Amino acid sequence: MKYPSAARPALDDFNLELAAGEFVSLLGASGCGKTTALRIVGGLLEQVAGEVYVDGTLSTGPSRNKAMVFQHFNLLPWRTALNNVAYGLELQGVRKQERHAIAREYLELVGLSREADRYPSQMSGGQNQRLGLARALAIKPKLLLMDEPFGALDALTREGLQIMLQQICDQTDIAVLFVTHSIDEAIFLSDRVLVMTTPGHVIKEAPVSLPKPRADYNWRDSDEYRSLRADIWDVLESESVLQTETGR
Amino acid sequence: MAPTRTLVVSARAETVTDAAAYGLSPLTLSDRLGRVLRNAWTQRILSVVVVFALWQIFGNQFTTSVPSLIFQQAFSQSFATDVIPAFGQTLATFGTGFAICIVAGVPIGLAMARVRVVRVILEPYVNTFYSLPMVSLLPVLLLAFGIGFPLRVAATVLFGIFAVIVNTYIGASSIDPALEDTAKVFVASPGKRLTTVILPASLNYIFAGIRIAFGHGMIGAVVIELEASAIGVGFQLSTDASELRFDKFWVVVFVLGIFSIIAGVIMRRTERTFTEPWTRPAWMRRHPEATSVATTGSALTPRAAAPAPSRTSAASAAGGSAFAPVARGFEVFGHAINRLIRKRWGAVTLQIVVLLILLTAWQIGSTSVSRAVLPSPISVAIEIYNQTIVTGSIFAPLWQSVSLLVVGFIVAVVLGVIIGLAMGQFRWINNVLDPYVSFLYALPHAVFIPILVVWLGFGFPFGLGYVVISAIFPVLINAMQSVRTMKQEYPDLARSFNASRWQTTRTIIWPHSIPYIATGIRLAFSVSWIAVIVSEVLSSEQGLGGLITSYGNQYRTADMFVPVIFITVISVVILQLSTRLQPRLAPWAPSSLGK
Repeated sequence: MKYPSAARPALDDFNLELAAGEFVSLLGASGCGKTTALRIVGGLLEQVAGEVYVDGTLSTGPSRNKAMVFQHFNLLPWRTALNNVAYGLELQGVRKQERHAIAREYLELVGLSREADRYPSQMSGGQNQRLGLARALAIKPKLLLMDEPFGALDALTREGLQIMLQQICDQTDIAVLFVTHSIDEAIFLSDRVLVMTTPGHVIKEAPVSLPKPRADYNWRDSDEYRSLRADIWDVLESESVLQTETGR
Repeated sequence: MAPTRTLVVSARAETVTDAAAYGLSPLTLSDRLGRVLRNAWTQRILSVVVVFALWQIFGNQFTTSVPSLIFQQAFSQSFATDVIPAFGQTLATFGTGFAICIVAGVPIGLAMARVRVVRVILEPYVNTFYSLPMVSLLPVLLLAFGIGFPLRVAATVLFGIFAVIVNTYIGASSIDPALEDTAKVFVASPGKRLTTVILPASLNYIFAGIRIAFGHGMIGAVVIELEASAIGVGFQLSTDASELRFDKFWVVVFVLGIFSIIAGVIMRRTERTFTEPWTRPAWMRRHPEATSVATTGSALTPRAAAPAPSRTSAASAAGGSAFAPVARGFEVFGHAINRLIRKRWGAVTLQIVVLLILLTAWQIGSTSVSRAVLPSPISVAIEIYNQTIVTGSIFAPLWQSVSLLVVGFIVAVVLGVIIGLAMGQFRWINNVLDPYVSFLYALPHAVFIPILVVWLGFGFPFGLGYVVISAIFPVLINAMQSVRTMKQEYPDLARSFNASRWQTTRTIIWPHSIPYIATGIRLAFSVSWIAVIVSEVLSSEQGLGGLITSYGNQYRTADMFVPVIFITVISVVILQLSTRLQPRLAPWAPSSLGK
């Protein structure tokens, strides 16, 4: 992570509120500050001005009510699937028996209960990211931070995981802040899409009211999807985000 | 959906900038001083200054010299009359030997990788010799060459060439088959294929081998001068130490260290101009040892198939008509051999046949020279029987050597892991120790033998000291690299779960370092054994090495081969053990790291 220079702030006038159970996506081109925003909320980066509140209390660093899912999975290669999922609990001092029981529960949730004793290197990319998701959920966070979590996966695996993520979110009360490059992914998953632009502020806020679960019907065929997509595209294009992107 | 939707998050961030550039109050004097003290080079220089000051003050308490006298010595008359010629002599020896290592080693390695028959025949010997402490063969060399320039060059070559062969072989046989397919698709001739695909693709390995050969060859050149010559740096060092002229001794060591460091830089530069543009990540470039160590010539799993030898023989068959039947005969023979050794039993059969031929040649050859120079295999076999079964005289020295190996190895690994991890994790520890680690690592550590003898005598403490100095560096540098090369994402993950510093160390840094340390341990194991034998051959009457020296001095050559054979057997056992170590210690990691 590079710190931006003083001349060009990475985030400027960035405001965001999430409700319990809400799914919000940050959408924008590379380098527009999405990941910076996410890492500040997660406590991995320190902001110069401004503050983060989670559940009514000021949050200045990583805490137990937040969990993160990383783009490149970031599983510990020397731990088995089970021990990777139990990692957060272990750091919280949960006893071995208990944390293994919880980890098994979450392995079950992401459909990997039979892979408990395998190492990440012996599993596919999609399975790896399901582990990453299970590991984050296992500490029962109120807020889930996902940094382009499906960006490193192939298109079909990606869709499968999107559907799984939506199911899991529907069953719980968890709030999700989701960083993505993909307009479709943002619309499919979110209750609200925030379009960001350089230097790090939100230029468009688009609520998505398509009924969930969206995998149950042909959501891409709806008028709302089409108009949302066109709107977002227009905003991105007018900000010449796409031109700079292709220009690189 | 939850019935009550409470507000969970509110984030407001205005400007994220570099905190240092964002309205810092003016620096106070102590701030400035703190900054200077935290500077890497300040710490390095301070460390050296403090150590030299302590040496100057307390140096007289020990049997050594002090920096001021050493400095005077560097500008004295004897530096020009003794030291410079000594360096010239050593460089002549070493340069010749090193050149032979490269010129002969690379083609042999390539031939092993590309021609199956060559591989099948040479592989057992190359593997054995690569892990064998070469110094155990010094008395044999001494008998074969007599004292002089050829002996010194032979020692340099023997110490260095197998690193070149093995690394070239591994590199050329682990080339991505797709690359060769490309060459084939464009109908490249065998020569073109060699120059455009095989050589460039194995260049990293070849350079790794050359670098190792440089270090080992240097040790060979110094060791042979210590043991059997009246010229050169090694002789100079041992004379200075035995005359207790430690000012002269240290001057030579420092000059040699500076030379080694400069030579290392030049080699890295050369390598970089050839290979940097492709595939080598930055961290590998900084400490290439960390990766090249993975190529100890054990896990030899060649992938590339040998090019069909039939092509060349077919061409020659089409040539001269008079030789046509002969060439035809060769071709048929070549095909038969090739078919035979495709099978495992066929290859083993060929190896046994070659071994028998060699033993027979040895037996016949030994009858025509003196028994003191070359004993027959049968007389060696009789001696093995005598020393193991009849008298059992081999076992006491064997036990001495093995216990020195085990103790030295364990001390080196424990110290290496602790210092290496500390250097990796704490910048200031790294900066304080870095000057000495770089210096000691670059030096052929055989130069410390004379002073270690003076300090520790000829017995076990001396052996232990030398083994630790030799074996600590592979472990130390790999442990250090494991921390330096860790992806930032791992500590980030621990932090996102609110882990404490200690938890991060325990759950991230330590497990991450295990495969690296395992690689270091594997190397340290072989290096320890070499150091055990070197220390015994050169300066003690103990152990298998001492046995070699004393039999050699008595011209009991047949007896001398018994410890040599035992040393070889232990080397092979060590090689086998250490290749099995890594999968045990780190089942999650790829078998050879950085490969």
